[in-house]
Amino acid sequence: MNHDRRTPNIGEELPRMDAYTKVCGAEPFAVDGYPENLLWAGVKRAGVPHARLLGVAVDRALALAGVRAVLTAAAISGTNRQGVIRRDQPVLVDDRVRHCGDPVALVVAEDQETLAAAIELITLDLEPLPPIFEPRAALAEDAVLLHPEHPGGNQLFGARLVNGAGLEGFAECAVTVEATFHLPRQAHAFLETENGWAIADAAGQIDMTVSTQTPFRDRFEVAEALGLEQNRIRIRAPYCGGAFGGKDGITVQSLLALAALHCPERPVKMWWRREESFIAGVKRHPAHLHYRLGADRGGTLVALAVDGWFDTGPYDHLGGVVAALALEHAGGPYRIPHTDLQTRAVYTNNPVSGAFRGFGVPQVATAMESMMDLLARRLDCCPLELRRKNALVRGDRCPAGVTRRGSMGLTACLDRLAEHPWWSERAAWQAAAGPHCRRGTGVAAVFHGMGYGPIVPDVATAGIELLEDGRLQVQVGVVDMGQGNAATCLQMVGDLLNQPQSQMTLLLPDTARTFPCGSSSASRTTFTYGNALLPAARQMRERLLAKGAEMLFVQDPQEMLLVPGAVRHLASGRDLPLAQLAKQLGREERFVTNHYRAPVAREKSTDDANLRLHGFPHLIFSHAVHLARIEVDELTGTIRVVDYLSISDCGRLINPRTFAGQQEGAVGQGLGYALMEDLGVCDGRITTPDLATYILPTAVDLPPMETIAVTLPEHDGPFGLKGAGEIGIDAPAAAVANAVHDACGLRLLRFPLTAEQLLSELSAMTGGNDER
Amino acid sequence: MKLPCIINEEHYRLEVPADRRVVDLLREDLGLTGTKEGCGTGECGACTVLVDGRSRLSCLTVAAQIEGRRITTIEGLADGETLHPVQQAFVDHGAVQCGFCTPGMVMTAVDLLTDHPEPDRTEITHAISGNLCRCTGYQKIIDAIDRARPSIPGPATRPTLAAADKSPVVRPMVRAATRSSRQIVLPDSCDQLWPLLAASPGARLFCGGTDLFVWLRAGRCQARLLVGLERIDELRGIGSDGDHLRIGAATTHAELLADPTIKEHLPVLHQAVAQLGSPLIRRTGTIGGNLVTASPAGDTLPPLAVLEATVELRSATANRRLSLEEFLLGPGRTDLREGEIVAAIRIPLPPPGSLHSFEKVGRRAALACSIASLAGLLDLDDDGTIRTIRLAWGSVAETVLRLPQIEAALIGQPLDDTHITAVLPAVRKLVRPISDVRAGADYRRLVAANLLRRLPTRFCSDHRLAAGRPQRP
Repeated sequence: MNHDRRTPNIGEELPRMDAYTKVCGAEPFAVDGYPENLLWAGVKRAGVPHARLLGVAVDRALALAGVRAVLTAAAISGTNRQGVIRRDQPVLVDDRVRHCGDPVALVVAEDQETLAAAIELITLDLEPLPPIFEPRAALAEDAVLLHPEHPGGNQLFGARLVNGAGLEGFAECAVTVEATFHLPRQAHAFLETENGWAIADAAGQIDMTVSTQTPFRDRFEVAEALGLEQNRIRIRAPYCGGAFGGKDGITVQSLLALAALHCPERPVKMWWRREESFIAGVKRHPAHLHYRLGADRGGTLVALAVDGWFDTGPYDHLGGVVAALALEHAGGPYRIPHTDLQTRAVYTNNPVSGAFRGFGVPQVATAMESMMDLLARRLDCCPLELRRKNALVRGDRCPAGVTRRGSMGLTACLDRLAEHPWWSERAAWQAAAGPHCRRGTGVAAVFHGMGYGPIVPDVATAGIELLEDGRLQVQVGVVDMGQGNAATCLQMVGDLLNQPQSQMTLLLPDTARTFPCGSSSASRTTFTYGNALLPAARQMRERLLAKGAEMLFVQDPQEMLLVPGAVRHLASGRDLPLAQLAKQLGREERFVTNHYRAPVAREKSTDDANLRLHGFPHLIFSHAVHLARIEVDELTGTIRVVDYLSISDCGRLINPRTFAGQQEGAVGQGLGYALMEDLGVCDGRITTPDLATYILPTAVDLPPMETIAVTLPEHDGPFGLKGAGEIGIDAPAAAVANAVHDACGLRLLRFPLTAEQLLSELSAMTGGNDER
Repeated sequence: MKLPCIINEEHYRLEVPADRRVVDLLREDLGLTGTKEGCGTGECGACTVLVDGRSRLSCLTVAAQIEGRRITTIEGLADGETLHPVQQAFVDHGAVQCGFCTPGMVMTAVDLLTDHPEPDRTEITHAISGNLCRCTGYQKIIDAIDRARPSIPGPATRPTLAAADKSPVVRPMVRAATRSSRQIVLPDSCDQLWPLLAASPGARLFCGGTDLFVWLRAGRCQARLLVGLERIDELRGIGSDGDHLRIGAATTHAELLADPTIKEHLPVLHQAVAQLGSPLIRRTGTIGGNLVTASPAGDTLPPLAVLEATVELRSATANRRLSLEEFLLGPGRTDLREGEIVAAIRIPLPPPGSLHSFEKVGRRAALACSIASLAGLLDLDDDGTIRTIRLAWGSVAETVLRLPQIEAALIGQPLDDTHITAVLPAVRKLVRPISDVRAGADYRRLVAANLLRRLPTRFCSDHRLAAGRPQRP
């Protein structure tokens, strides 16, 4: 086959290597593991939002035939606490229930039917505590503290940045607009729900395969929580069936390890059903955001005040970091000299909020970009021109007070959008709407920081091995959750070493076989790992050429060239197959490795050490401008997105098709966030427990999409790339809201933009047509 | 039960509980883990396989239902090393990201191309609307199917049971559920059915099972014996009976949709069925099942109401015929008696030239539970005034709702925005919606009335301007 011989080039639209196995159903996901002699593990969950746990009655469950173990917190000898920044989440509840999904007892059984029956037989002795469901109520003086030992009380995280004259800057504004936005709780709804399986040998060594974005950090957390040495735990991380941040951190890992330890030499599997995934997994933070934005008469932004509240649920997960990233992005990609920005993540007894693609930015971008349109209307100017006028360029300070360096493609994106017929011909398109239909066009401009910020090391260690059979094994130390970074690594190595896919194999993350690397998250996966990998590949190339030269008695390795499957001596035309070369080399000689640590911002833009610990500020940013064309049905209030355009500055592209797929997918998820996704919670209980009630966009709900990249090189990036995984989800909600405003003259502040809300506002606005 | 079937062209005789879900049978018992499970309730399509060449949700199918059938899973699609053209197109056009929806998506596409070798993008989009993808935004999946254009072999025909029996691989299940707590029987004829029902009072009947198997999973059905009607041939099919159409209760929605008579003579029903559930649900769900479930949101109910369909009930000893209003008593409640089944729906053919309209509002454009719906059947006089009109609303009352007062008020009036608008306040008063997780009662009331305003724009091009947009403030 052609693909067997062809070597990849950077910038080519190549099929992903993993597509072949996935399209045949042959790629083993974690959930596909059904080893012989399997046991099933499951969890008894609290079912109440806030209570003191007085006792757990497990006898009836234990007595059931086929039950192998029923474990409570008493079985845990470690800290029984998990978390990334603040370790505050119990593996199994020991003293206090803080949300309905809290796990209280772990059951292991021979089959799923017995498991379900046993869980039903467990009863809990609970003393109710007053629950807290609203962030503002959580900060009331007399509010019950969810974590009495936390110095910040119920405020998990809070930070404020004041730049320029702060609020006094509003005195200089000729025009001011103000609004409060409500953003919903979004579920990741990856199709492969949280799962894994584990086996402990007689000596207590645990081998676990799990659907996770963070195998190395998981190992550390599991070890600490259960009181084990890290080297007793091996975690393998195959491709995830979607993750989007929802598998950034512990899901089933500690429970599985505990179950395996108590049932040695039997594999134990845990697989959360969809309903359990909703109850127990994390969600995007619901947020209330108050914005005030001022400008001079000519449309130059002058002052911005933001007060943002993020409901983080009962545990940190990554809630503080989310609120910090929201703070950094609250002012959008604009020059605003006077700012007063504040965000908080607050503990409540609602389901746990945590990492989700975008990581706090979709919330603030939705608000800020709505504000920009409000301001444009107030100034009676073109919303695109307002953005062009104020767009950050290199050397500017952003609204959070940090100097921009690195590639800045926002203006290029805005210019491309201005030329696009969907923008330039929008008035004619709007006028052509049919009966009962209103049309509108909306834009949104966003930016997204990449990596972990200045304190947490953003590192990766890559490895490439020439196998004895002459193939190159490329380590992918960072999980591929679907975005395609594994195949992208192969494309980079294949180009540098001039080897086709058939000459290369992948080694997926495995704490026993690959080097520790950061997470698959924060738009840093391919940037950081690629930067580790490229020097390794170059080193391998030099090694192969030098060793090949030696074996062919050639003086100068410069006379050698790598060709598919061989090194070639150009002068003589002789080939030395890599398989032959490999046999002459020891393992150390066949292996290269390289470590990389991403650069960080050196500017001291805040004295708040806690804020810096939570990732502020970032150094490298991607940019994007999106456009949505929508139709509103006046009879039903339904919004239909007709066309969608994204123009992105994410540096150079390794594989444009992979890039486009990622943007389209992010837009799809973002349109779900804009239009329909809203995990309902009432008194701490989920009111949309399944995929019949928590709805995602189907193919019919999403528009045709056009994806454009302005491919300006980022000098710090491998082959000039920068982060692309998240930015696509930041803009859609604002673009749609702005299009609705354009269509109906209505500014909606509560998301998602349901037909119900829109029709009610439309009726109120038009006096109900026939209403009265 | 001993289950003869063919899986990926291999003959099996499986020892398996009758209520074993096919997705578990494939993944756990046979190691065919290419078939994925994403929800267990028929909402995501990841578990789609082919049964006798047609797509089917394996999470809502139990072992008893595949007896004698030919199953194709994703593992059985490629011809040795050569990918099926749909698989190859998915690889070539970037349709695979995380890959978890991919097997189900590919199977659905293969099913589509069997009937429509050259679908347009709209047809493709609707065909995959029961398969959720969380990674791609669908665009590249649609591209791939659009370009697949294979010379697809015809659908695998249903093997005879005898053929399946020929040289089976007898495979005792390694990990099949140990306790088979529930019996599932699928009689082939009514003659087999009646003694079964007589011997087992309390048996739960189903026909397709797209609702029942969701309830089973949620623990909302405790019956020990389930009796499926889907294999009874005399309950299937669409026939003409003079000036009536007779639809067998076990006819699937997909069969209704494909039937040219329904499309020509009962567009209101055709339009409703086209929006019911997803293509995958329509392959399995039946019109009889939709009736007996008696959900206020049942999509076939408003069209059947305006068509003034009657329900044929049959038991071992007697037949009776009820109007739809007599049959439907409330949410989930019908006049069906113990030992009785719905055999067919009889529909009088509306006069030629009647105007048919069905519109449904859901929280999304496909695979949606209706928030409000309206079926309309009208005849206009030559001058454009309404001669007859029947209207039935879904999801705005305990069951499908006809409003004779509104119909009476409109008869003799021109079909235009002014006259329709005049009756809207009355509609809002007369509907009796509830608030639930999908929408509030106020919205349902508003929309129930507004849907009427679509009728002039649908049927009278002259009235398009009159129904145009109000001025902006």
